[in-house]
Amino acid sequence: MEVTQFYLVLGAVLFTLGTLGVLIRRNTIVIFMCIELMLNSVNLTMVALSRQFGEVSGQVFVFFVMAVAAAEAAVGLAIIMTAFRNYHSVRTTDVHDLAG
Amino acid sequence: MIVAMWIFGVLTVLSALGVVFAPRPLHSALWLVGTLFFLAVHFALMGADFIAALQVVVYAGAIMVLVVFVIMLLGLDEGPTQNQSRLTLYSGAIFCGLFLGLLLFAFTHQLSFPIGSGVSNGSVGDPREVGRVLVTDFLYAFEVIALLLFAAIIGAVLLANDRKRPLMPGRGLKAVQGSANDAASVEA
Amino acid sequence: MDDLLSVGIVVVKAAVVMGAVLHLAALTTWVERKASALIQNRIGANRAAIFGFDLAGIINTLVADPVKALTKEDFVPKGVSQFMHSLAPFMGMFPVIISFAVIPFGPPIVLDDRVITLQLAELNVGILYVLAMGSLAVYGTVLAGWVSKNKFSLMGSLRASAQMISYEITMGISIIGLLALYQTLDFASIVEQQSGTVLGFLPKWGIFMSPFNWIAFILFFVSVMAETKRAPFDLPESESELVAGYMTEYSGMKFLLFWLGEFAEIVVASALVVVLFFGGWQLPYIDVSKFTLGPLIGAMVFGAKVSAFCVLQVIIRWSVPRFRYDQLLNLCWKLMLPIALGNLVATIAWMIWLDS
Repeated sequence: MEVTQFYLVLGAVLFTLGTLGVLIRRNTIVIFMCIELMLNSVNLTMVALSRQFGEVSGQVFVFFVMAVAAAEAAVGLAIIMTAFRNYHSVRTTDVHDLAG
Repeated sequence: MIVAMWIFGVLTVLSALGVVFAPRPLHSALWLVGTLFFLAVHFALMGADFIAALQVVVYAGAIMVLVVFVIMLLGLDEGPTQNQSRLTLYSGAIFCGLFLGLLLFAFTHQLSFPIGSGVSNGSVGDPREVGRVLVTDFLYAFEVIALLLFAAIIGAVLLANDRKRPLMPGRGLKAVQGSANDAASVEA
Repeated sequence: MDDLLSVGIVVVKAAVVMGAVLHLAALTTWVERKASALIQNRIGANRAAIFGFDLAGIINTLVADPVKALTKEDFVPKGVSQFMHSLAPFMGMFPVIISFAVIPFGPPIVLDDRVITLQLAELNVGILYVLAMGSLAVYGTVLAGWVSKNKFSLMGSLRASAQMISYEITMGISIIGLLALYQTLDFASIVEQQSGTVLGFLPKWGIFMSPFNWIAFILFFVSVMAETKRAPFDLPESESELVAGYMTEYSGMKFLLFWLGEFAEIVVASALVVVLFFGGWQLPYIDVSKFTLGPLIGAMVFGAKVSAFCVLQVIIRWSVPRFRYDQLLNLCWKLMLPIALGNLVATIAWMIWLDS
């Protein structure tokens, strides 16, 4: 199998696993980690394509994704802490005041 | 390279399965650290040394330590958690299976870009080159990212820093402090 | 045949590097016990002896102590996963040992048609690699505190994770100015640039390369000392508050592994300071790499410098009292981080002034 193709397939598998985790898990921290997994699979795809085309901008995008993920982690974990403060739980089934 | 690629590819998928299916959140977090580390190995294999090092420093070293810290602080590692209802589980699995099938079909049959055309000459992962492009072609995005990080810091501090309402006792650190206070009051 | 020889050279280099790090770490434990005794006006380890020779306590610390640790009961608390409990010391020790792989410890050996670099892995992102491995080392501590199911351990590992994540930031930012001066992230090239003199009489070491680098040195040295989790930064294991912090539920060989990992961290920290700020294997005024025995002399110079910094860290550890936790975090975020950023701006401004 071609190297680029291998990494595209690997990225697809990881992305799907992340999606599956977001869909079937209840714990918000685990959902958060699955989102990180999805972001990383995209990073893998971008680095593979950057290698394929000999173009450095793909790696620069990965850099930006990492910075955004860091910001997301800071705010997301703060939100999880606030939710825990209010509901004493981080399960999605317990945090449902806004559900219609 | 092909052998290393396959070995680490299998390891990556196995630890990603661990993230999704580990019953306890802390085990999920440790599996994710493994996945991120193996992804860094893949980046290094593809010649992107700078991104590989950043991956470990930023993801495994900072973001995941923060996640583990929150899990320990709130005592969220409560043991096996139930999953969603059977309906959600099956529909999620079917949806993901279809999605994966679509992606795999696209990547193995319908590739529109010419594969194997312009494989790079190895200087693509050089930190000097990445840095140069970062502050020339993408200078505007770079500044916006700096602003975003600054806003995230302020937002996180505002959200998490609520001195009037302390965290309620869970199984984590607060339980430790709570029991220490109990012991002190019993002695008094 | 040629391939086999190359592989053999790499294996020998790896064995030499790992052996040197572990032996230096073990010797530092001896220095620690004797120096602490000297500072506190005691005699120190002097009981164990072979045929009446105690070799100033070396037998006690390097033979008797490991034997004692090996023969102790390997205690695992009730209801704790045996695998995770054993995994923690390894996760703490492994990144520290392998971070030594990118540090050059001597000038290259030139034989007829073959150049053997005295560096295990020639990585063009060496410094980032060391920072990355340093940030992985925190998982050993965190895991140890969590799997022990002990309140003191949990408290210790919470303290450790916050402390290490904070000081990593200062550590990274304090050397950015220096890296801008070197124009590279590769350790071998950094050491090569430190030969010769500045202003005619000072050796051209990193610390003398700009008027602000001594600030960077102080910040970096304090940060790496905080990363080693020893006094005055030993909040994660402060024995007067938390019994032994994250190591409370560990005994025997696993405890010794944590301990050895801590001392290996001291050696790696000293090696980093020497390579970045004190010329690596370079001797002032003399170009070592010109001699036939240059590699040997260079390696000895490097070893001497690293040992000196190990001893300095031991002396600091036994002279300074422990911080309070809020003082520790205030020192990092409110004092060292602004100074590091100011130092970065000053260094860049100085470089621009020098160019114009």
